[in-house]
Amino acid sequence: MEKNFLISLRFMFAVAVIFGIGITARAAGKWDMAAGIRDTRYIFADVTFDSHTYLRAEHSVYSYDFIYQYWRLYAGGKLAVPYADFDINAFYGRTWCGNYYSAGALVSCRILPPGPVCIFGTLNPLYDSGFRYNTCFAAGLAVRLCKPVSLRASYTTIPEFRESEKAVRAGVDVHIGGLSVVPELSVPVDPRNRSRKLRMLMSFSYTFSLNQ
Amino acid sequence: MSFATFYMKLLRRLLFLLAIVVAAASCDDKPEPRLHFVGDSLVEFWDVASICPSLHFVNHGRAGAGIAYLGEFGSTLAGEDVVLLLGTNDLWQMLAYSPEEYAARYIDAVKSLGVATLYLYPVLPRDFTGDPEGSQEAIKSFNDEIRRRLDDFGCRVEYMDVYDRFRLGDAHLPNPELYPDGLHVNVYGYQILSDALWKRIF
Repeated sequence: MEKNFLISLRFMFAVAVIFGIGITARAAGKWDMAAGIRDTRYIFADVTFDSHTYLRAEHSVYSYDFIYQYWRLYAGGKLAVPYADFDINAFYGRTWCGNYYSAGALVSCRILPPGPVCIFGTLNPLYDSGFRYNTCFAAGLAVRLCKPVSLRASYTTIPEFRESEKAVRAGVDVHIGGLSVVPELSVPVDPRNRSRKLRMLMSFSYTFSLNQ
Repeated sequence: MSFATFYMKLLRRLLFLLAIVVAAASCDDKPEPRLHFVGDSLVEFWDVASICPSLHFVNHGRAGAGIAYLGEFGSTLAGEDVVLLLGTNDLWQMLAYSPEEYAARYIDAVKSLGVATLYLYPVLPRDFTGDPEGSQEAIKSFNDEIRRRLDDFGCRVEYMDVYDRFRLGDAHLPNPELYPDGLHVNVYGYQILSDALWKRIF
Protein backbone atom coordinates (compact mmCIF):
# COMPACT_ATOMS: atom_id res chain seq x y z
CA MET A 1 0.00 0.00 0.00
CA GLU A 2 2.84 2.32 0.93
CA LYS A 3 4.60 1.51 -2.34
CA ASN A 4 1.44 2.27 -4.32
CA PHE A 5 1.04 5.52 -2.47
CA LEU A 6 4.61 6.51 -3.34
CA ILE A 7 4.03 5.61 -6.99
CA SER A 8 0.86 7.69 -6.95
CA LEU A 9 2.84 10.59 -5.54
CA ARG A 10 5.43 10.17 -8.29
CA PHE A 11 2.77 10.33 -10.96
CA MET A 12 1.14 13.39 -9.47
CA PHE A 13 4.53 15.03 -9.14
CA ALA A 14 5.32 14.22 -12.76
CA VAL A 15 2.03 15.79 -13.83
CA ALA A 16 2.86 18.84 -11.73
CA VAL A 17 6.28 19.03 -13.39
CA ILE A 18 4.71 18.86 -16.85
CA PHE A 19 2.42 21.75 -16.03
CA GLY A 20 5.15 23.52 -14.11
CA ILE A 21 7.52 23.44 -17.05
CA GLY A 22 4.81 24.79 -19.29
CA ILE A 23 3.82 27.59 -16.96
CA THR A 24 7.17 28.74 -15.60
CA ALA A 25 9.13 28.59 -18.85
CA ARG A 26 6.78 30.63 -20.98
CA ALA A 27 9.33 33.40 -21.27
CA ALA A 28 11.71 31.53 -23.53
CA GLY A 29 11.03 29.54 -26.66
CA LYS A 30 7.68 28.48 -28.02
CA TRP A 31 5.58 26.44 -25.66
CA ASP A 32 2.36 24.73 -26.58
CA MET A 33 -0.02 22.91 -24.35
CA ALA A 34 -2.66 20.39 -25.40
CA ALA A 35 -5.43 18.57 -23.60
CA GLY A 36 -7.98 16.09 -24.81
CA ILE A 37 -9.19 12.52 -25.00
CA ARG A 38 -7.64 9.51 -26.73
CA ASP A 39 -9.71 6.54 -27.81
CA THR A 40 -12.71 7.51 -25.66
CA ARG A 41 -11.25 6.28 -22.37
CA TYR A 42 -8.02 8.20 -21.83
CA ILE A 43 -7.76 11.87 -20.95
CA PHE A 44 -4.40 13.54 -21.46
CA ALA A 45 -2.50 16.78 -21.18
CA ASP A 46 0.88 17.59 -22.66
CA VAL A 47 3.36 20.39 -23.11
CA THR A 48 5.49 20.76 -26.25
CA PHE A 49 8.60 22.89 -26.46
CA ASP A 50 9.40 24.55 -29.76
CA SER A 51 7.17 22.07 -31.61
CA HIS A 52 9.80 19.37 -31.02
CA THR A 53 10.02 18.00 -27.49
CA TYR A 54 7.04 17.02 -25.43
CA LEU A 55 5.92 15.44 -22.18
CA ARG A 56 2.49 13.93 -21.81
CA ALA A 57 0.43 12.56 -18.92
CA GLU A 58 -2.53 10.34 -19.62
CA HIS A 59 -5.18 8.84 -17.36
CA SER A 60 -7.91 6.31 -18.01
CA VAL A 61 -11.60 6.92 -17.39
CA TYR A 62 -12.70 3.29 -17.20
CA SER A 63 -16.12 2.75 -15.68
CA TYR A 64 -14.95 1.23 -12.42
CA ASP A 65 -13.09 1.95 -9.21
CA PHE A 66 -10.35 4.57 -9.16
CA ILE A 67 -7.58 2.28 -7.94
CA TYR A 68 -7.90 0.19 -11.15
CA GLN A 69 -7.56 3.22 -13.38
CA TYR A 70 -4.43 3.35 -15.49
CA TRP A 71 -2.02 6.24 -15.93
CA ARG A 72 0.78 6.66 -18.42
CA LEU A 73 3.62 9.15 -18.87
CA TYR A 74 5.24 9.87 -22.22
CA ALA A 75 8.42 11.71 -23.14
CA GLY A 76 9.07 12.26 -26.81
CA GLY A 77 10.05 14.36 -29.77
CA LYS A 78 8.61 15.45 -33.10
CA LEU A 79 10.36 16.29 -36.32
CA ALA A 80 8.91 17.66 -39.54
CA VAL A 81 10.75 17.51 -42.86
CA PRO A 82 9.43 18.18 -46.35
CA TYR A 83 6.72 15.64 -47.19
CA ALA A 84 7.02 13.76 -43.89
CA ASP A 85 6.83 14.12 -40.14
CA PHE A 86 7.96 11.87 -37.32
CA ASP A 87 6.92 11.42 -33.71
CA ILE A 88 8.92 9.22 -31.34
CA ASN A 89 8.21 8.71 -27.66
CA ALA A 90 8.83 6.35 -24.76
CA PHE A 91 6.19 5.67 -22.16
CA TYR A 92 5.58 3.98 -18.84
CA GLY A 93 2.18 3.33 -17.30
CA ARG A 94 0.48 1.40 -14.53
CA THR A 95 -2.74 1.11 -12.59
CA TRP A 96 -2.96 2.99 -9.29
CA CYS A 97 -3.19 -0.28 -7.35
CA GLY A 98 -0.18 -1.62 -9.27
CA ASN A 99 -1.81 -4.84 -10.47
CA TYR A 100 0.07 -4.40 -13.74
CA TYR A 101 2.38 -2.04 -15.52
CA SER A 102 3.42 -1.50 -19.11
CA ALA A 103 6.23 0.29 -20.88
CA GLY A 104 7.20 0.82 -24.46
CA ALA A 105 7.64 3.25 -27.29
CA LEU A 106 5.62 4.67 -30.15
CA VAL A 107 7.51 5.41 -33.36
CA SER A 108 5.19 7.17 -35.78
CA CYS A 109 5.74 8.43 -39.30
CA ARG A 110 3.44 10.32 -41.64
CA ILE A 111 4.22 10.60 -45.34
CA LEU A 112 2.65 13.70 -46.86
CA PRO A 113 3.15 13.67 -50.64
CA PRO A 114 1.63 16.48 -52.69
CA GLY A 115 -2.06 15.82 -53.13
CA PRO A 116 -4.89 14.75 -50.88
CA VAL A 117 -3.52 11.35 -49.76
CA CYS A 118 -1.37 10.83 -46.68
CA ILE A 119 0.13 7.55 -45.45
CA PHE A 120 0.84 6.94 -41.80
CA GLY A 121 2.28 4.18 -39.67
CA THR A 122 3.25 3.45 -36.06
CA LEU A 123 5.55 0.85 -34.55
CA ASN A 124 4.84 0.05 -30.91
CA PRO A 125 7.26 -2.15 -28.97
CA LEU A 126 5.23 -2.91 -25.85
CA TYR A 127 6.01 -4.69 -22.61
CA ASP A 128 3.13 -5.56 -20.27
CA SER A 129 3.84 -7.19 -16.92
CA GLY A 130 1.12 -9.78 -17.58
CA PHE A 131 1.20 -10.27 -21.35
CA ARG A 132 4.98 -9.79 -21.64
CA TYR A 133 6.63 -8.39 -24.76
CA ASN A 134 4.73 -7.72 -27.96
CA THR A 135 5.59 -5.75 -31.08
CA CYS A 136 2.48 -3.95 -32.25
CA PHE A 137 1.95 -1.72 -35.23
CA ALA A 138 -0.56 0.35 -37.15
CA ALA A 139 -0.58 1.41 -40.80
CA GLY A 140 -3.12 3.35 -42.78
CA LEU A 141 -3.96 6.20 -45.05
CA ALA A 142 -5.98 9.38 -44.94
CA VAL A 143 -7.66 11.17 -47.81
CA ARG A 144 -8.32 14.87 -47.48
CA LEU A 145 -11.85 15.78 -48.55
CA CYS A 146 -11.51 19.49 -47.92
CA LYS A 147 -9.00 21.51 -45.94
CA PRO A 148 -10.13 20.63 -42.40
CA VAL A 149 -11.68 17.20 -43.06
CA SER A 150 -10.02 13.89 -43.94
CA LEU A 151 -11.26 10.34 -44.10
CA ARG A 152 -8.88 7.85 -42.50
CA ALA A 153 -8.57 4.09 -42.32
CA SER A 154 -5.93 1.88 -40.75
CA TYR A 155 -5.08 -1.65 -39.75
CA THR A 156 -3.77 -1.90 -36.21
CA THR A 157 -2.60 -4.31 -33.56
CA ILE A 158 -1.90 -1.58 -31.01
CA PRO A 159 -4.01 -2.18 -27.88
CA GLU A 160 -7.05 -0.02 -27.33
CA PHE A 161 -7.06 -1.19 -23.74
CA ARG A 162 -4.36 -3.56 -22.67
CA GLU A 163 -4.19 -6.64 -24.86
CA SER A 164 -3.11 -6.44 -28.50
CA GLU A 165 -6.11 -6.90 -30.78
CA LYS A 166 -6.22 -6.95 -34.58
CA ALA A 167 -8.63 -4.34 -35.87
CA VAL A 168 -9.45 -2.10 -38.77
CA ARG A 169 -10.18 1.45 -37.76
CA ALA A 170 -12.02 3.90 -39.98
CA GLY A 171 -13.19 7.39 -39.29
CA VAL A 172 -13.02 11.09 -39.91
CA ASP A 173 -10.29 13.53 -38.92
CA VAL A 174 -11.51 17.09 -38.46
CA HIS A 175 -8.75 19.59 -37.83
CA ILE A 176 -9.58 23.26 -37.36
CA GLY A 177 -6.92 25.51 -35.86
CA GLY A 178 -5.83 23.97 -32.56
CA LEU A 179 -8.82 21.67 -32.41
CA SER A 180 -8.63 18.11 -33.67
CA VAL A 181 -11.56 15.70 -33.52
CA VAL A 182 -11.28 12.08 -34.68
CA PRO A 183 -14.34 9.83 -34.34
CA GLU A 184 -13.54 6.27 -35.49
CA LEU A 185 -15.06 2.82 -35.66
CA SER A 186 -12.84 -0.05 -34.60
CA VAL A 187 -13.82 -3.29 -36.30
CA PRO A 188 -12.32 -6.63 -35.15
CA VAL A 189 -10.70 -8.71 -37.89
CA ASP A 190 -9.58 -11.79 -35.98
CA PRO A 191 -12.31 -14.40 -36.59
CA ARG A 192 -11.08 -16.49 -33.64
CA ASN A 193 -11.96 -13.76 -31.16
CA ARG A 194 -15.71 -13.31 -31.29
CA SER A 195 -15.84 -11.51 -27.96
CA ARG A 196 -14.30 -8.48 -29.56
CA LYS A 197 -17.14 -6.15 -30.58
CA LEU A 198 -17.38 -3.16 -32.85
CA ARG A 199 -16.23 -0.17 -30.83
CA MET A 200 -16.84 3.50 -31.34
CA LEU A 201 -13.73 5.49 -30.43
CA MET A 202 -13.54 9.23 -30.03
CA SER A 203 -10.35 11.22 -29.84
CA PHE A 204 -10.00 14.96 -29.62
CA SER A 205 -7.40 17.46 -28.56
CA TYR A 206 -7.15 21.19 -28.22
CA THR A 207 -3.72 22.79 -28.57
CA PHE A 208 -2.94 26.33 -27.53
CA SER A 209 0.19 28.43 -27.16
CA LEU A 210 1.47 29.30 -23.70
CA ASN A 211 3.41 32.28 -24.99
CA GLN A 212 0.42 34.45 -25.68
CA MET B 1 17.24 34.93 -18.43
CA SER B 2 19.88 33.95 -20.99
CA PHE B 3 19.26 31.21 -23.48
CA ALA B 4 21.95 28.94 -21.93
CA THR B 5 20.56 29.40 -18.42
CA PHE B 6 17.10 28.57 -19.60
CA TYR B 7 18.31 25.39 -21.28
CA MET B 8 20.24 24.30 -18.19
CA LYS B 9 17.13 24.74 -16.09
CA LEU B 10 15.04 22.89 -18.62
CA LEU B 11 17.59 20.06 -18.78
CA ARG B 12 17.56 19.73 -14.99
CA ARG B 13 13.78 19.53 -14.98
CA LEU B 14 13.75 16.94 -17.74
CA LEU B 15 16.36 14.83 -15.97
CA PHE B 16 14.34 15.03 -12.77
CA LEU B 17 11.23 13.90 -14.59
CA LEU B 18 13.17 11.09 -16.25
CA ALA B 19 14.37 9.97 -12.81
CA ILE B 20 10.76 9.84 -11.61
CA VAL B 21 9.69 7.74 -14.59
CA VAL B 22 12.65 5.37 -14.19
CA ALA B 23 11.98 5.04 -10.45
CA ALA B 24 8.36 4.15 -11.10
CA ALA B 25 9.36 1.72 -13.87
CA SER B 26 11.89 -0.05 -11.70
CA CYS B 27 9.30 -1.35 -9.22
CA ASP B 28 9.64 -5.10 -9.04
CA ASP B 29 6.19 -6.50 -9.75
CA LYS B 30 5.27 -10.13 -9.97
CA PRO B 31 3.44 -11.09 -13.16
CA GLU B 32 -0.27 -10.61 -12.69
CA PRO B 33 -2.35 -13.80 -12.46
CA ARG B 34 -4.64 -14.51 -15.35
CA LEU B 35 -8.37 -14.93 -15.14
CA HIS B 36 -9.80 -17.58 -17.47
CA PHE B 37 -13.32 -17.00 -18.76
CA VAL B 38 -14.91 -20.35 -19.56
CA GLY B 39 -18.36 -20.97 -20.95
CA ASP B 40 -20.63 -20.87 -23.96
CA SER B 41 -21.61 -18.09 -26.36
CA LEU B 42 -22.46 -15.83 -23.45
CA VAL B 43 -18.75 -15.87 -22.59
CA GLU B 44 -17.52 -15.94 -26.19
CA PHE B 45 -19.43 -12.75 -27.02
CA TRP B 46 -18.40 -11.00 -23.79
CA ASP B 47 -16.14 -8.07 -24.67
CA VAL B 48 -14.16 -8.38 -21.45
CA ALA B 49 -11.42 -6.07 -22.72
CA SER B 50 -13.91 -3.25 -23.05
CA ILE B 51 -15.78 -3.77 -19.80
CA CYS B 52 -12.82 -4.67 -17.58
CA PRO B 53 -9.88 -3.07 -19.42
CA SER B 54 -7.21 -3.62 -16.78
CA LEU B 55 -7.83 -7.36 -16.38
CA HIS B 56 -5.34 -9.92 -17.61
CA PHE B 57 -7.78 -12.46 -18.99
CA VAL B 58 -8.18 -15.29 -21.46
CA ASN B 59 -11.59 -15.80 -23.07
CA HIS B 60 -12.23 -19.53 -23.62
CA GLY B 61 -15.91 -19.04 -24.48
CA ARG B 62 -17.27 -21.33 -27.19
CA ALA B 63 -20.72 -20.96 -28.71
CA GLY B 64 -22.87 -24.02 -28.15
CA ALA B 65 -20.69 -25.42 -25.36
CA GLY B 66 -22.12 -27.47 -22.52
CA ILE B 67 -20.45 -29.19 -19.60
CA ALA B 68 -18.77 -31.66 -21.99
CA TYR B 69 -16.59 -28.74 -23.10
CA LEU B 70 -14.91 -28.68 -19.68
CA GLY B 71 -13.37 -32.08 -20.43
CA GLU B 72 -11.33 -30.53 -23.23
CA PHE B 73 -9.28 -28.47 -20.78
CA GLY B 74 -7.66 -31.46 -19.11
CA SER B 75 -5.33 -30.08 -16.44
CA THR B 76 -4.55 -26.82 -18.25
CA LEU B 77 -6.64 -24.79 -15.80
CA ALA B 78 -5.34 -26.52 -12.67
CA GLY B 79 -4.41 -23.95 -10.05
CA GLU B 80 -5.80 -21.08 -12.13
CA ASP B 81 -8.65 -18.70 -11.38
CA VAL B 82 -11.68 -19.36 -13.57
CA VAL B 83 -14.87 -17.47 -14.32
CA LEU B 84 -17.57 -19.96 -15.31
CA LEU B 85 -20.84 -19.16 -17.05
CA LEU B 86 -22.06 -22.41 -18.52
CA GLY B 87 -25.09 -24.65 -18.67
CA THR B 88 -27.74 -22.99 -20.79
CA ASN B 89 -26.94 -25.27 -23.75
CA ASP B 90 -27.53 -28.29 -21.53
CA LEU B 91 -31.14 -27.32 -20.96
CA TRP B 92 -32.41 -30.50 -22.57
CA GLN B 93 -30.19 -32.60 -20.32
CA MET B 94 -31.45 -30.68 -17.28
CA LEU B 95 -34.95 -31.67 -18.35
CA ALA B 96 -33.96 -35.27 -19.09
CA TYR B 97 -32.23 -35.79 -15.73
CA SER B 98 -33.40 -34.57 -12.35
CA PRO B 99 -31.85 -31.24 -11.26
CA GLU B 100 -29.93 -33.13 -8.56
CA GLU B 101 -28.44 -35.60 -11.04
CA TYR B 102 -27.50 -32.96 -13.54
CA ALA B 103 -26.02 -30.69 -10.86
CA ALA B 104 -23.87 -33.63 -9.68
CA ARG B 105 -22.51 -34.09 -13.24
CA TYR B 106 -21.87 -30.38 -13.48
CA ILE B 107 -19.99 -30.31 -10.17
CA ASP B 108 -17.90 -33.36 -11.14
CA ALA B 109 -16.94 -31.75 -14.45
CA VAL B 110 -15.87 -28.53 -12.74
CA LYS B 111 -14.02 -30.39 -9.99
CA SER B 112 -11.96 -32.24 -12.58
CA LEU B 113 -10.47 -28.91 -13.70
CA GLY B 114 -8.71 -28.46 -10.34
CA VAL B 115 -9.05 -24.68 -10.39
CA ALA B 116 -7.88 -22.50 -7.50
CA THR B 117 -10.80 -20.10 -7.38
CA LEU B 118 -14.06 -20.47 -9.22
CA TYR B 119 -16.10 -17.37 -9.97
CA LEU B 120 -19.41 -19.02 -10.70
CA TYR B 121 -22.52 -17.60 -12.34
CA PRO B 122 -25.90 -19.31 -12.26
CA VAL B 123 -27.51 -20.40 -15.52
CA LEU B 124 -29.35 -17.29 -16.65
CA PRO B 125 -33.09 -17.29 -17.36
CA ARG B 126 -33.92 -17.82 -21.03
CA ASP B 127 -36.89 -17.88 -23.38
CA PHE B 128 -35.51 -18.82 -26.78
CA THR B 129 -37.33 -20.04 -29.88
CA GLY B 130 -38.07 -23.76 -29.50
CA ASP B 131 -37.36 -23.94 -25.77
CA PRO B 132 -39.30 -26.89 -24.33
CA GLU B 133 -42.01 -26.60 -21.73
CA GLY B 134 -40.71 -26.32 -18.19
CA SER B 135 -37.37 -24.74 -19.17
CA GLN B 136 -37.55 -21.88 -16.69
CA GLU B 137 -38.44 -24.20 -13.81
CA ALA B 138 -35.61 -26.59 -14.74
CA ILE B 139 -33.06 -23.76 -14.76
CA LYS B 140 -34.31 -22.44 -11.45
CA SER B 141 -34.16 -25.90 -9.84
CA PHE B 142 -30.67 -26.47 -11.22
CA ASN B 143 -29.45 -23.13 -9.84
CA ASP B 144 -31.03 -23.87 -6.44
CA GLU B 145 -29.24 -27.21 -6.34
CA ILE B 146 -25.87 -25.67 -7.29
CA ARG B 147 -26.27 -22.91 -4.70
CA ARG B 148 -26.97 -25.58 -2.07
CA ARG B 149 -23.86 -27.57 -3.01
CA LEU B 150 -21.16 -24.90 -3.37
CA ASP B 151 -18.98 -26.71 -0.83
CA ASP B 152 -18.83 -29.75 -3.12
CA PHE B 153 -16.80 -28.00 -5.83
CA GLY B 154 -13.58 -28.69 -3.93
CA CYS B 155 -12.16 -25.21 -4.42
CA ARG B 156 -12.80 -21.66 -3.32
CA VAL B 157 -16.12 -20.67 -4.93
CA GLU B 158 -17.35 -17.13 -5.38
CA TYR B 159 -20.97 -17.53 -6.39
CA MET B 160 -22.41 -14.49 -8.12
CA ASP B 161 -26.13 -14.89 -7.81
CA VAL B 162 -27.31 -12.57 -10.58
CA TYR B 163 -30.24 -14.76 -11.66
CA ASP B 164 -32.88 -12.46 -10.19
CA ARG B 165 -31.41 -9.47 -11.97
CA PHE B 166 -31.98 -11.10 -15.35
CA ARG B 167 -35.58 -12.19 -14.85
CA LEU B 168 -38.68 -10.16 -15.37
CA GLY B 169 -40.61 -9.45 -12.17
CA ASP B 170 -41.75 -12.55 -10.32
CA ALA B 171 -41.78 -14.70 -13.44
CA HIS B 172 -38.75 -16.76 -14.42
CA LEU B 173 -38.76 -15.24 -17.89
CA PRO B 174 -35.79 -13.19 -19.07
CA ASN B 175 -36.02 -9.43 -18.88
CA PRO B 176 -36.30 -8.34 -22.54
CA GLU B 177 -34.33 -5.19 -21.78
CA LEU B 178 -31.26 -7.35 -21.16
CA TYR B 179 -31.68 -9.89 -23.98
CA PRO B 180 -31.94 -9.21 -27.72
CA ASP B 181 -33.28 -12.71 -28.40
CA GLY B 182 -34.23 -14.32 -25.10
CA LEU B 183 -30.91 -16.23 -24.90
CA HIS B 184 -27.92 -13.94 -25.44
CA VAL B 185 -27.49 -10.84 -23.32
CA ASN B 186 -26.83 -7.32 -24.54
CA VAL B 187 -24.35 -4.73 -23.26
CA TYR B 188 -26.57 -3.95 -20.25
CA GLY B 189 -26.64 -7.63 -19.36
CA TYR B 190 -22.88 -7.86 -19.65
CA GLN B 191 -22.56 -4.84 -17.39
CA ILE B 192 -24.48 -6.73 -14.68
CA LEU B 193 -22.22 -9.77 -15.13
CA SER B 194 -19.11 -7.59 -15.02
CA ASP B 195 -20.20 -5.60 -11.96
CA ALA B 196 -20.88 -8.79 -10.02
CA LEU B 197 -17.50 -10.22 -10.97
CA TRP B 198 -15.68 -7.00 -10.24
CA LYS B 199 -17.00 -6.91 -6.68
CA ARG B 200 -15.73 -10.44 -6.07
CA ILE B 201 -12.32 -10.09 -7.65
CA PHE B 202 -11.25 -6.92 -5.90
